[in-house]
Amino acid sequence: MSQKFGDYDYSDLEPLPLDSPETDDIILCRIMYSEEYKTLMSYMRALMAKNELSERALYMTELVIGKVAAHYTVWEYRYKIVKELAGEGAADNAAENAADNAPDGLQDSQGPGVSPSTILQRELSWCGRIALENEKNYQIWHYRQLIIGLMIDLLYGGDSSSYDIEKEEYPIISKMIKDDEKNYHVWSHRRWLVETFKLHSSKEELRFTEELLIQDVRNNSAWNHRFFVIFGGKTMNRDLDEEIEFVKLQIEKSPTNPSSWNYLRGIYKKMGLNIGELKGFVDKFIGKEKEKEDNLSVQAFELLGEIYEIENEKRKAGEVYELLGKKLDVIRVNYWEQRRLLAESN
Amino acid sequence: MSLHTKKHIAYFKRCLGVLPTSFESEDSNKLAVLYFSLTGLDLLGALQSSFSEKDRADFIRWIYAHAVETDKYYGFRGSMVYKDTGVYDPPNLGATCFALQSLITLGDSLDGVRKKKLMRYVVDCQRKDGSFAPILDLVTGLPFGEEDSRYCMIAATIRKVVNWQGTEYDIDIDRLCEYVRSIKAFDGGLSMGRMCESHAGLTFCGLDSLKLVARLDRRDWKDTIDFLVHRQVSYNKYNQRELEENPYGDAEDNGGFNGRLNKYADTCYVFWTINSLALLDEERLIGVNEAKDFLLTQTQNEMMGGFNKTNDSDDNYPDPLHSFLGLATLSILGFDGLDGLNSELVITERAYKKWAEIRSDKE
Repeated sequence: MSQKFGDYDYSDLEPLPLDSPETDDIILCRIMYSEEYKTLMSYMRALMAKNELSERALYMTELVIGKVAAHYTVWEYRYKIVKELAGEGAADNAAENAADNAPDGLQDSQGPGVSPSTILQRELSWCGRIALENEKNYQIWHYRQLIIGLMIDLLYGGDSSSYDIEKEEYPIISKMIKDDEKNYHVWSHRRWLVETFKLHSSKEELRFTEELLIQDVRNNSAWNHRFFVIFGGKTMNRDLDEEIEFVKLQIEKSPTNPSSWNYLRGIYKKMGLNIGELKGFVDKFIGKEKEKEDNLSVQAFELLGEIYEIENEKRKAGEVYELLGKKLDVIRVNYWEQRRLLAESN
Repeated sequence: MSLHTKKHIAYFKRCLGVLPTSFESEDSNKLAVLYFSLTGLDLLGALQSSFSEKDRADFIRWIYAHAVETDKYYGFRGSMVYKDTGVYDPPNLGATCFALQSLITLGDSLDGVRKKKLMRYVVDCQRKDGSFAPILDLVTGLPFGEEDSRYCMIAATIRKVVNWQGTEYDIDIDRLCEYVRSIKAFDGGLSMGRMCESHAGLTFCGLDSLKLVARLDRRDWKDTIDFLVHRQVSYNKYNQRELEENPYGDAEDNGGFNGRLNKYADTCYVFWTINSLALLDEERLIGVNEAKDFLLTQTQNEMMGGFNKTNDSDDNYPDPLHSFLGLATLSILGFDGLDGLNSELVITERAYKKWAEIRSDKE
């Protein structure tokens, strides 16, 4: 039977059907597979069973990922195919094609002598396309990192500095972030890039977070990345006082935003600074001078409670927690009550 | 405002039956669908009444048909689509965990599980940094796949469920604990890796990993508790500006929980947060009634049964995960008419007791 998917011919394969005699008599979580899915999977299964590492198998993995991106070995299979085509297999392919002289366009749409660079570049673009189509996919970014590793090994002789991050990585990240500025996987990938390519002192990373914080000062992913860039490297390439001023300015603009307060506290904790220094700053947001409620910040009271605790002002700390529980943040009354009891008994 | 018990029972029974073609994309997650639905029914006290003893025995046989056994390893595959694909049919830790949880929920003794081979697989999935991969590359014998605390919890659950006391193969518990500590973010929440953004779901997975290996000490996690209780969304007159200025501000999220700072409330994060607190015996620190109200009035699907992910106007369909987690949360909060939940193994108290009984009979 003739069987084609896209430009590729699979007629020589014996499809492995989806029946499973062990479970067919039991109806349990039984998906009504479409004919299309059944055909596709039966050829995919046949290719996997042979472990065929070829262009047509590569194309098949794309079709399967389009249907069921959570398939946990199709990614491993695809990686092995790419590795074969770009690595050990690349030389053989070129030789074979040269000997053949009249390559079958259907069998090898890339033509003769496809270089490892072309194969890997094509794969990277494919990763970008799939990521844009599957925003929440867990596997695609891990897979992309494997491909980057392969490029560094096969094309740049292990020298990671030859990999052009600005050209290959920043544009896709920007596109993804434009669709969802808090996409967890994309931010984790950005973190991986900083770690892998040692970008802690890169001006671009700080600029990137700053740009996103200007757009939305409540973007906690951007705050977290900023923290990682500045405080996660071996040395710090940012003046600490400047950074504290930067976050204080953001708090003054939006005093009820929990992300910027968290960040300020994070710096103090990380650097072992005394939060007592922040008392004057906190005062601006607790309505001390004027009873101006529109500038009140629940987070400022929370910090004030902790400042009193470290200053051993047990009663004052208890009063702040009581105010939080009874008036400012009633939903967490049980938590604030626990904090009050702890503060007063310590 | 009430729980639509009958509709939820009907919903889970539908998930256990014939699923529409749109579930093709969930083909690899079939055992997850099974586990959520069986445990959901069990919370509602309807597992025994919905299926005959023969049905339940068939279900057990169906699950065991998903077992993969090689010379060295044992575990479960996520779906029969993997069967007969050679090196591309390794056990999957997620599927294995869901299979075991489902088996004990159905009252199986786990005598059919090849425990030594299973533990060898789990041990080989552990990476040097202490974390776990979802699968092994059967050719190289090396872990393959993304890294995060989900598989730590899954590995620790498998170990506990099979009651592993072996010394021959065991996971490196010190390294596991070290890994979990390493993913704590600066604000106390746990994350996907060193210095990643804190996340309530990954916080649960990390804390539960420690609980399952008896290494969770409440005193070490004070800032994590602070992170967790702050996941409950609350808008009042003191943070009115958030509703006006935050693009993610939504007054209807009140009482619900977000997974990260400044995000929308979501059914699953109500669970991840409250169950994290339950592991630390602190689930009463949050606004209990507000949390119940959020689930019952905002995400419970009154038409179809089950729970939706969010209260968005275009989010109209329940799914098995959110449906189970919505109910499980109500159970933790002591909702009348639901069985209790064992927070550590995430199975019902009934199933837990039965499992413990079988275990002690063997000893």
